[in-house]
Amino acid sequence: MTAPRPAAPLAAVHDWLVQTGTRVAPADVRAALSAVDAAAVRIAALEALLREAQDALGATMWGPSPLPYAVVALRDRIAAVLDAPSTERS
Amino acid sequence: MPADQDTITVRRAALREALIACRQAASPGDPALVARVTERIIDGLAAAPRQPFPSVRDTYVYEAGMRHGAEQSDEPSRFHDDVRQWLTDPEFRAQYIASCEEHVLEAEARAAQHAALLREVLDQRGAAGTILPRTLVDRIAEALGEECP
Repeated sequence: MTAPRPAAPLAAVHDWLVQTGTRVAPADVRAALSAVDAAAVRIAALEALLREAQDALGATMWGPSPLPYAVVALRDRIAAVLDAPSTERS
Repeated sequence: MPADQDTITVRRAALREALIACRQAASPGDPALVARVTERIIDGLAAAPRQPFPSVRDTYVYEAGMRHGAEQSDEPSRFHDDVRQWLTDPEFRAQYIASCEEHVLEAEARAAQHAALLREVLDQRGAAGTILPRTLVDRIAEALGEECP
């Protein structure tokens, strides 16, 4: 019988492992945690760039000429992605 | 392997104890917090018959303690001991690692979505009326691993 994934306990374990620097974790768990952390860093960096791009595209809307529809649509799609709920573990 | 009925009964009783402990530890000034934690513990009670791990109760008590500023209590250290114990259990460890891998896959999908949008931003930098700072363009290109003339 395959056990269901207990999200809350695993999240609590994860938080504790991160807080304690994973010193007590076996190597395979440390590797899994490192992958999670690397993914989080990558996401954060890309999101920061998206926010800057969103701001820049928004600022240009105040210029003298109307923005192409594609630019406006892109800015809106960026906003939708940034506003979407993250899949980060709780 | 499914837990037998006695074990399930013990777990459910333990989770009820956790619920009581949570309520006792809860700050009276934050009823919404109490409600949220209580709800999670009730969810844990509902899931108990399917929950294979013996220390669910401790996890919820730990969470309740952390959320209510009871870090100095004995609960966190007990939780820590349990985690050390769990990590020696191959089944728990495999499940935990699978959870991490699933999380990474979700993050990679999200990163790919972000990268695609950023490539479109680069493509639009010559469009009429757009003013993308050069430094931003360079940093986006660097993040995407691309050359940007």
